[in-house]
Amino acid sequence: MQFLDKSKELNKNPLLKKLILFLVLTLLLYLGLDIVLHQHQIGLTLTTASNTIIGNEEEFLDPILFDTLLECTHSNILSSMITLMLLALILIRLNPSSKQYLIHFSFITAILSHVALLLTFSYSLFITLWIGFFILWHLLAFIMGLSIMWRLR
Amino acid sequence: MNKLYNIVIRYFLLMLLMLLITGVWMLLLHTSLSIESFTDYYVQKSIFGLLEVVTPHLFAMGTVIFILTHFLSLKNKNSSFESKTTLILFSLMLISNLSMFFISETMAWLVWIKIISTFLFLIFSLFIMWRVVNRQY
Repeated sequence: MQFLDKSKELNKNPLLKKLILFLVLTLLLYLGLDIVLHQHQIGLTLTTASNTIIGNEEEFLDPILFDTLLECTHSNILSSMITLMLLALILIRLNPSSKQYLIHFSFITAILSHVALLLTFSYSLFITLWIGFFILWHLLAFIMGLSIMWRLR
Repeated sequence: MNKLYNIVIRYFLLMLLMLLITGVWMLLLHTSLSIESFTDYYVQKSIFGLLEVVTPHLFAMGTVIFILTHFLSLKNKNSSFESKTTLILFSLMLISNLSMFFISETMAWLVWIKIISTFLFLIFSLFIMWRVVNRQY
């Protein structure tokens, strides 16, 4: 974790600066594509997500299997925890007095989105919450990424 | 060390706990809590079916163990106990993943290797997570 090493001043180390910049750019690209992928797989509007998760008798759509939902959550937890950890660590490294609430909100909304996705199988009310938390944690991660790039300029 | 690093580490550990819980949940769903169904699950899978499970797990578990155990190295003084625990965790992960290739109808007893190594992996992961939480940086 070179990001934690305070002895390496970024201004004196252009390579490390570039590495961080490209890493953050890749993570931002990942965040954008993750939204597109979930829009395609589950749907990010109430109607499309309900049709995928609960199914729709009128349109002959079967509900999603719980195994599939659990597998999706399992892989989403891994990717979100690594993405948010990297972004948060870089942000703290660049600005040690970063506002705590951005870090708290991004992690909490990500955790709640995973819990809500699992609960959608039993309670359809959680579909709206999942969509909200999912978009929110991506948005907060995006803000962290943009904030890092602003400080690297 | 900045207090914010501790916050990030704690959130990481919480999400890791969720990852372990969903992983165990999936394993129990697939195997229905019986040794016969556990064995059948692996015996019925083709070599490519097993590869589909093992390949992402090797990458993900290797990366996560590295991240988790490197938190122990943020402090200069590491006990040999912690080094050994890290080595054991990596070994258990490899045994747990690779043992499923050898489970067959004639060697069904190997399923015990898979179950025990997975169980020990969980115990050691929780132990290291507890050490990281209680560590003063």
